[in-house]
Amino acid sequence: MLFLLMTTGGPPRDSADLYERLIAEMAAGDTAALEQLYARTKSAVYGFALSILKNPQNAEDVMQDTYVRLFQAAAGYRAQGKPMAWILTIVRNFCLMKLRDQRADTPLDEEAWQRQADPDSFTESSADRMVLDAALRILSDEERQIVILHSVTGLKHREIAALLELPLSTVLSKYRRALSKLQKIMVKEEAL
Amino acid sequence: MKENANMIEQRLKRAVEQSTPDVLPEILLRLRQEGDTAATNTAIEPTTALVEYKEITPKKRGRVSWLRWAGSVAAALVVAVGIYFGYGYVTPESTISFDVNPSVELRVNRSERVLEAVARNEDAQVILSDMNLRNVDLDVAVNALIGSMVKNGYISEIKNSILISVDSRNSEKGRRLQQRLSGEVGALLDAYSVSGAVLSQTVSEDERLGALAEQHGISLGKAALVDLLVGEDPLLRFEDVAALPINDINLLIAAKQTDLQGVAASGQASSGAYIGEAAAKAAALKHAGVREADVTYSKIELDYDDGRMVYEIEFDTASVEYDYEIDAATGEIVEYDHDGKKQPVQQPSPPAEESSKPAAETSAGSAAYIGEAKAKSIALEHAGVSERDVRIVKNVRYEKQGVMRYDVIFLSAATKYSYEINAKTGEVIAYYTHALNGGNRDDDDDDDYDDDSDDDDDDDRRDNETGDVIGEARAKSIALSHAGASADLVRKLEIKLDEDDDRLVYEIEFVYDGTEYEYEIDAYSGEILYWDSEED
Repeated sequence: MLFLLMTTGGPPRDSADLYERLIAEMAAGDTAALEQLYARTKSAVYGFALSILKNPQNAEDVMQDTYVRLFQAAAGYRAQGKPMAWILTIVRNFCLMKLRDQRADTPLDEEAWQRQADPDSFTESSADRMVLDAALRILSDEERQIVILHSVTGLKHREIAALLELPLSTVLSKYRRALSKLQKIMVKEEAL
Repeated sequence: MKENANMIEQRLKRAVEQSTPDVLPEILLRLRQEGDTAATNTAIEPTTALVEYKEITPKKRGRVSWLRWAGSVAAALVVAVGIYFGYGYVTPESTISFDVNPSVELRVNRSERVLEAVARNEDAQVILSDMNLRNVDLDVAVNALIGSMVKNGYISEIKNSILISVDSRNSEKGRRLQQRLSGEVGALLDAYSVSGAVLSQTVSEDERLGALAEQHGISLGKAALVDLLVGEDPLLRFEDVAALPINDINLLIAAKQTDLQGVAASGQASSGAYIGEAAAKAAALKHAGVREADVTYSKIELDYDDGRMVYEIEFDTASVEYDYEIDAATGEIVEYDHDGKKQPVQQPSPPAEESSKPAAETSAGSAAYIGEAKAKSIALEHAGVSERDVRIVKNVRYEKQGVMRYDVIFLSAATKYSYEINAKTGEVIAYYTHALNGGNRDDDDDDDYDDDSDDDDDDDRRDNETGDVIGEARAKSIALSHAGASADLVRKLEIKLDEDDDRLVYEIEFVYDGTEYEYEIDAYSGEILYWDSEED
């Protein structure tokens, strides 16, 4: 079956300490610390936002909102060893607010999406890009959020379950299902 | 070759990383604009900050900190004036803030002359733009301020609240100032035919409040008032309330009967800008289709939720509990919910009555039961809806507490109906109704379906034995024939109804001829949404 023993999903675990130190410095007003945290977490934040909103422009807006809020709320953060969960919860809240404000579903704009691609690395990453496109188009909301969280942010299944407010068993089975669907797409595309 | 899961994850990660935009400059800019003084960037000089402010429109009132610019100019002025007038006359003895929407700060010396007038937000700029208050007597300045606020429409009959906060080095003097000024302002407003609601307080430098004030771009006095309200109601967020005008905050304080502690209050906040409780209640009743005469209990309260002032209304009839949230300004319905109270309807039916109902359209083989089709039509008729207008989600016969019954669930555009019908007599045993997502509220209605007697079917909808529209049997046969499998040679068959993305699907797994199959089939159309096969 598709059981994964190990994935290199994100930053190593000891980065939690580093992040918490950066957050403490941000609480004291140090923007250099914010810049460091930003550099290390921006893909996780963007990826998660994109997985919820499916729209790059909105995901970008949420990204901004998130880091501004992180800085302003840093003083209230209580170090419990899970800085990433705190950050992503804020992302999720902003995304949910944005979804509510925009009743009409703005589906993924293929063109806007392509425009964002880095032209230099486009050819090399076309297979990578294909997987992300597939994830955004084919997977269901929960499958997409789960698989992107797991691959980009380094959160474990249990943490993903807590963040998305789903039972662990659901997360595991949707994760499996999502990967299976993506694998199928890769096979189809490569066979062409 | 199939890519393994790890490779897929790597691809996803790389793709996301490559497409992540760089928004750091915008983030830092916003932090500077929102007045976080700690976000120092040595490359930025005060003049540059001024240019930035002019080019970008602030999103919210009060978010732009003029303090840094005004402060540096004022500081230069104070120094100049001080050299000229002498020390004693230029040291501010008291700082008095006036908050309505505009937030104006007057710094006065011992002789109650205005040393400077500071606009703390954009609206205050409007107020101060056509007056020069420097060296003006305090009472004259207040007169001018109030007049300007009324003239520009910030204070009116329907928005009549103002907050006066006095911060004085001499606390006794501060208190006297507070009392005198609140009386003066009240009288001034009367002269403009506005019966004002004047809130007043003394404040002093407080680190926590100061930080909050700075963070949200409001005055210390307003921060103290917001703090009062937020402290009492945990559902209110500081940043939301900070953005509200004083009149709304005053209305909320009144609605929630907040203890004002050190804040003196006179007059009453006007809710004239809003539609009023009577109109709100009428709108709710109309939407619910309920007559006032049928209402057994009701409660209405002005509140703040999700970026706007709303009326929160609850009312009951004999059989239903209603909850409404109505936009206080527009009368629009923001959210609604109604919960049917459980309605026991069945009379105990003696066995002799069973034969009175011929099983005309039974789909099941058993003649003793009325059949799913009949159960469905009984439920529909009871609910007063036609089959055309609803979607049948469940229709299954099962036994509970020794009685065979049909569980029929259907959805109209706005309501979810759940019926239990006696399988032999066709009588309605119980029914529930529940409003579907009427606004922002999540559908959290699972509790409604939990009987006292622990019906497993309703604990987790995904474990339902039978879904309807196409039904498990049909879904199964679609999957099997797609796989070219014959039913009797299939092992380990699993089927369940799942809801994801607001879509109902059957998830089916089975093993056939040494191969493991997985299918996802749309519960309504029977379309195969996804399938997979793997050597077992």
